[in-house]
Amino acid sequence: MDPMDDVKSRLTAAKLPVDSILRPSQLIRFDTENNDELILIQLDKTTLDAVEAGQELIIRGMENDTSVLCTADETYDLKETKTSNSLILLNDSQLDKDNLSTYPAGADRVEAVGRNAVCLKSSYLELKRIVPDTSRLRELVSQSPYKGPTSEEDYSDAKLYSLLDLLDMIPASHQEIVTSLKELGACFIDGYWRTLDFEYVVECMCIILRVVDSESWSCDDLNFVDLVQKVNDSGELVPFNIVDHLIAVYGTREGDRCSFIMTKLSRFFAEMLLQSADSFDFNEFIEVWGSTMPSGMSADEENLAGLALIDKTAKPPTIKRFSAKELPQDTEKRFHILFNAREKWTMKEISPYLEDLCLQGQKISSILTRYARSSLTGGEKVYSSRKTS
Amino acid sequence: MVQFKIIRCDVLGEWAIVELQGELKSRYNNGINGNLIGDLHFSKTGEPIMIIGHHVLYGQVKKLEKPFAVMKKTKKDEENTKFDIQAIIKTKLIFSSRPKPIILQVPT
Repeated sequence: MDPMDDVKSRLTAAKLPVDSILRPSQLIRFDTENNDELILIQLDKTTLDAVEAGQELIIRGMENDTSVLCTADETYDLKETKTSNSLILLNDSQLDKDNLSTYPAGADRVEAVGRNAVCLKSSYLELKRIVPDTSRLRELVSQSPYKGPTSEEDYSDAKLYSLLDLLDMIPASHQEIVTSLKELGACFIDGYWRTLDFEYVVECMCIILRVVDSESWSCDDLNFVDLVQKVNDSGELVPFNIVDHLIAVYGTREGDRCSFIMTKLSRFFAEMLLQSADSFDFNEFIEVWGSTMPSGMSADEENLAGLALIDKTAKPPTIKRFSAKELPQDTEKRFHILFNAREKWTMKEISPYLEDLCLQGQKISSILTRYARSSLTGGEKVYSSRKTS
Repeated sequence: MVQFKIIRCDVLGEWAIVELQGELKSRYNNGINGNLIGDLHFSKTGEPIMIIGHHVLYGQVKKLEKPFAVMKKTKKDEENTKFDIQAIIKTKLIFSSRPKPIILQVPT
């Protein structure tokens, strides 16, 4: 019996006249080979574009059995999702009516082609964009903080990490790791990424600023080559790459022209002062901070965001060091520490301590809604812990 | 940390999905490979119709908001496990309304 008769008789049984459908019909049959090992992965626009452009995606599997997927600059959580439906994969089919034709009226014979169903799936991998966990990165690059060329013998046995090493250990994309290194203030020294010991930073910055001052140069208009030369001529050595790094962290450089950015420089001085004691009288702090800085720079409280906790309800008002950079990446843990440090926060006060937890486009308010309780105090909206004890 | 690379094949196919509710069972319990699933027809208005076993199913053509990639694991040697993306799926046929049973009329 002609297989087309089968199709025709099935159509007839279903009460579908041949001329009510388009041609050809497509008879779907499973492949004789088993293709069950194929995996379905659901993409978003970014990953689709990356795949189509021939870019490599990388799956990184951690010891705790979770996996992430990375493009060049984004990280996704990878999860297997099961469906109660059957997903039949066709490697060749025509689904567009514009590419099918009609039968003439009264047609009696069916035209059909065979189509291959490669396999049947009832699960797929789902992607969810996440802020990658780079907490281990901070640990690793801070293991052997650089204290200057003369202290390097202390580190002769230390394990240092190159970018390749870090890519192998941190479940994040290349770009996100590079960005995190920058945010951590890590420096590229002899092929390895390391943080600088803060005391060493202070030493170097003081040398640099002393030179700027003695040459009567302006902080916002410097010649990089002259700067490096004068700094090292003075007998106190600050390696070229360290000057370069410090300008990048606290300023900006384009070719030979470079400058310090006033807000960043101002924050550097505040950080330096805050290290020296547990807590300070706020007004005294502001005075000392102002007088420590080069002339032309002012002690602006706004520049302390993410660096210190100011308590204006205390008598006298106090200020103490509280650095956003030292907080854990885990959201629960972070909120625990924040609410321990201060019971109630305004949006303005808490934002600098939550910014790094947001994905592009995500708002801090959405994190607060999820992890904190809001209330009104003195007409102002404040956030506090959800926990009652 | 284990790492696997995923990259598209030189030729990237464009495949499709037919989505059916529930499980497909083979008539003769001989597994699925090589077996006919059903007939796919399109009405003149482009609506997909499938005849599977004794049922007629009416469905819709849907463009996937989140396309799928189809990947296959390839192992060059012990170390170099990677995945090749063979195809992208941007469209599916979804049959979610209740299948209508076909009642065979015995000719009198």
